[in-house]
Amino acid sequence: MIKETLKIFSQNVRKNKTLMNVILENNKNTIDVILVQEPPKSLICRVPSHTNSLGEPIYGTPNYPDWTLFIRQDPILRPDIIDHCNINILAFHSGQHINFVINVYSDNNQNALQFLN
Amino acid sequence: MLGDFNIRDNNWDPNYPHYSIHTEDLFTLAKSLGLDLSPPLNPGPTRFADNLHDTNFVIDLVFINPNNPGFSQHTLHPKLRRPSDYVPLFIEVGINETNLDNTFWSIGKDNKEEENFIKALTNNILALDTMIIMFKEILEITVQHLANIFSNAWYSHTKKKHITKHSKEWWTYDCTESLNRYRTIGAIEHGREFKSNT
Repeated sequence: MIKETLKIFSQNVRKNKTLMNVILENNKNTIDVILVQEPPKSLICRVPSHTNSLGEPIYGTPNYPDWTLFIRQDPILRPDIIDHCNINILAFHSGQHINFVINVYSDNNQNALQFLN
Repeated sequence: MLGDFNIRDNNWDPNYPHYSIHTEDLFTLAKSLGLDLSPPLNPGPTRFADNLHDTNFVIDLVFINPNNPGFSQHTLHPKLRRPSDYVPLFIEVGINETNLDNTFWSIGKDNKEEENFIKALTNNILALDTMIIMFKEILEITVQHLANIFSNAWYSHTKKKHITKHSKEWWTYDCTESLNRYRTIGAIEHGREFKSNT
């Protein structure tokens, strides 16, 4: 499908898992990209570990069948350009051009902004 | 570029009387990316205070290339913020579609052309002399030569095709049928049938 515009939704969800699920459900037919700041993180499982008798905890954020989740190390988020937990660069092609969408969460100490500069 | 920047400044929040020391860094960064601060169509706070003493803030900002049709067209939706004190933003940006390339180069699977392509690639790579790489310059020439081998082999054994509205869809009714059969029954022969259909 060839698109002329890109529809983006952005919100800081304050780590609220329910709100995150509502956003994913309500926007699945109208929005192309959802950018989230302060996404929720919860324990998915524990994997066997040499150093932790309880197992190493694995955390994740809500996933949803109608959406593709991009996380920090995903190549489409171009960690080769910027690798920072609070900055996501989404790169996509349209024809011969590359478009970038940058999602930033800069905390009160302005860590992300300082990193970018 | 957009998100929660946690910077309060009179430049984008007229109800806040002060300026931030971080604003200049932010504008310098945006300028280096060819972006300008894009004010929303319906200006207002982007974060609501969680108590009666504080005022509401504008800290969620959007920076867009000023030539983009989406510049200064985004909207704030405070009624949709639900339990969050942050307001959601809806942004629609134009994607540059000039010179859209609707062609691609294709090679048939398991046919003579594919065989010739692999043969040409193998022969030319084998003929590449790597013993002469003593200096950086020669390495760069050799790497370029290797790239040319791939490029020449690809373009001389593939056909240029156009993507149209009528391009053949590869997923057929048979694919759905065989996949459902395999999922329901789970027999190996149904798995093979699904593989051969796809």
